[in-house]
Amino acid sequence: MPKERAHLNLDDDLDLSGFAPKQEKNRDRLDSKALETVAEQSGFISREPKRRKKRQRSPYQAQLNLKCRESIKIMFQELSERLDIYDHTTFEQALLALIEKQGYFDLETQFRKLTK
Amino acid sequence: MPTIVFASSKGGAGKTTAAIVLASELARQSASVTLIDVDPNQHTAKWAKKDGCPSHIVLIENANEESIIDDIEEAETKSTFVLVDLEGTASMAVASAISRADLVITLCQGSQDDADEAAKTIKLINRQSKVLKRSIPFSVLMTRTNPAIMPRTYRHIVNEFETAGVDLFKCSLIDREAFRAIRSFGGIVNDLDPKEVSGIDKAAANAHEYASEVIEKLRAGQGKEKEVVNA
Repeated sequence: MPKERAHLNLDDDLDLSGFAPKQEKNRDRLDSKALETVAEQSGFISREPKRRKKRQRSPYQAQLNLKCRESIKIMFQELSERLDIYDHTTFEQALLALIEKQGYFDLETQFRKLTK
Repeated sequence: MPTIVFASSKGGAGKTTAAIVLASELARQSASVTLIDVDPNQHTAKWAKKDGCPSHIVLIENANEESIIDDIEEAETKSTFVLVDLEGTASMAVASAISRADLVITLCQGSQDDADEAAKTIKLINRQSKVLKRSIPFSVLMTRTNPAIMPRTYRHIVNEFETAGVDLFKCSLIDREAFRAIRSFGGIVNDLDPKEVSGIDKAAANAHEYASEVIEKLRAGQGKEKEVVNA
């Protein structure tokens, strides 16, 4: 026989009948853009750190320092400006043109492979 | 299934205490509860990880702006009640959680700053209701109140809310040592040691009164939803 007598349950229990987990996930998709606009208008803004765009590593890493005439340097830069391209592209295009002119097919294939 | 969101863009308004006390009271009635902690300070998570946390409570910690909607949807299928404790800032995470709420409890102490921030949250809820074309039930719960004294500022704030037609809890969360003690010892108010903490019975009664009113409000919200569906 248990030594402790039964207690009267006078606790006013909460009536939780009718509440149950959902059978399946809510499938309604909210108009997140509209909600975002409303939130921002109400002063509720994103506090998450802005994701920085991943910058692709430039393939132009090596330096080629060569001596040339001052006027040729200016002409080279003028050419880049006229073509509206960077100096390194001008250099590569000029190099390719020279390879093609000389008919160095092996170098042309190599060039195209490297710059793909 | 109901998702209850605790929101106030001001820190220290009593969101975590209100969430923990309600979770404890629901779990005490053997209901399954998921507590989602979206506050980077993770105070709710700290409490839930302490000994004595009811086994009916499942914790989702480190929720954030990006994960919150998925976390709520997942929890709604697993627990009878989902409680979301938000950070005390005007953030997009707050807005996202409110958009999924069945009841938003806006916490407010008897200070003008708290009331201003509560008003800001209420404006957001009203605007979201229009966009979502559904009413998002919300209510203001006054916190850290003194049962013996009702200061003039407190009275003024309550009056302002009432005049504006804002729904207020009839009860308030009284400033009790027991509510602070559970954060320190862990567990629920009813399990505290009376030798260590005073006023446990009063705090337990306050917690029960508050939980009962939450259930009432949820049922009233469900009723309104049915009316909308039938209309």
